[in-house]
Amino acid sequence: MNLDERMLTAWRGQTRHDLTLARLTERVRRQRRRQRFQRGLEVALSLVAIVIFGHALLSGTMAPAHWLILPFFAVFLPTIWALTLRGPRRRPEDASEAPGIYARLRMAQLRAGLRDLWLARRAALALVAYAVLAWGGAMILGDVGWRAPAWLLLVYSFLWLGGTHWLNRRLRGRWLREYRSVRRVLSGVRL
Amino acid sequence: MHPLWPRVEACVPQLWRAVCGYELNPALREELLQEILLATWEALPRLRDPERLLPFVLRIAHNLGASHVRSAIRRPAVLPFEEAVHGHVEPGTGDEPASERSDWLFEAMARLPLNLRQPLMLQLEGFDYEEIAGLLGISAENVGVRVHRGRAQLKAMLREEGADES
Repeated sequence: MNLDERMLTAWRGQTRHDLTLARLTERVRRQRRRQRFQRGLEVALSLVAIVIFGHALLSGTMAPAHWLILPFFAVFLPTIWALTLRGPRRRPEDASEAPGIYARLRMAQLRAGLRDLWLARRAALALVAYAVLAWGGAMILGDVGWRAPAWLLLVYSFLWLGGTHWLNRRLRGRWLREYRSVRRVLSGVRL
Repeated sequence: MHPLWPRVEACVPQLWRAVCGYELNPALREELLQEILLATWEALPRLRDPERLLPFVLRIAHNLGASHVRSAIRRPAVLPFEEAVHGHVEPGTGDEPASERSDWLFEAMARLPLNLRQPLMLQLEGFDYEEIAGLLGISAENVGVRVHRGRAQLKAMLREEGADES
């Protein structure tokens, strides 16, 4: 058997018999449900924050916890949503484009993703800085009503920083590798 | 559901081989396949000629496969060889199970650079140079050069490992 025949035999020998139409459809539907849930969660969290603060502001029942967290949300939410809506998201159907076009789309998506990660790191650090300042202020100037939420804010801000750091470590290396690789490919490809 | 979706089932063998050509780890293969299936589902409304379903699906697989390889670490992860699971692999004897006869090729493929691997995979799938050129967005001459180089590298690898017949 020559190399061609052996390669062909090996290539055709790699099969899957368990992927029926019903299974394929179920897998795709499950993933789409998961994606919709994630997007729904993002919207719901934003709406909950707006409702809680809006209600407290309008009804005049702002507690120390509201005052401590409000400045952060007032900056954080609009920034995150502006970036989410503006940046090119990864759309699965883009993969059906010609390789050159897909590479350009992918590069834009990766650039946006890397920028979002950078912003997330900066936002987490800003939250920690703000929480430390707020905690210091509450400890020096505030009473018990201010100190308890200040502690809570401080703990949450460090948890947020840890989570952001974990996400950053998980995604940034992969995205950066792909970004550099696509950039190298595009610099040598004529569309 | 798009009316062409049921016909995707017929493309699964080719899709799976494309996935195996980009990834050796079984768990990551499943992830990549999932990603390709979702992209195919979303992209089907863009397909104008239903007769071109297989090239359309394979283009998606190769675009996403290339992304997968580019974002992975430079060298493919070396998996521990478990003799109890895999048995002794010696390609070409014809006595071992089909999956074992296939492994040597996919392991060798994983060491080929993407620009040589992609045309070779499509050629093994039965596409001619013109079709491969259309799928990968390069010229047919370029496909020929890459296939030739890819085969030469594969042959050299096999010779190095003493698995080549010669």
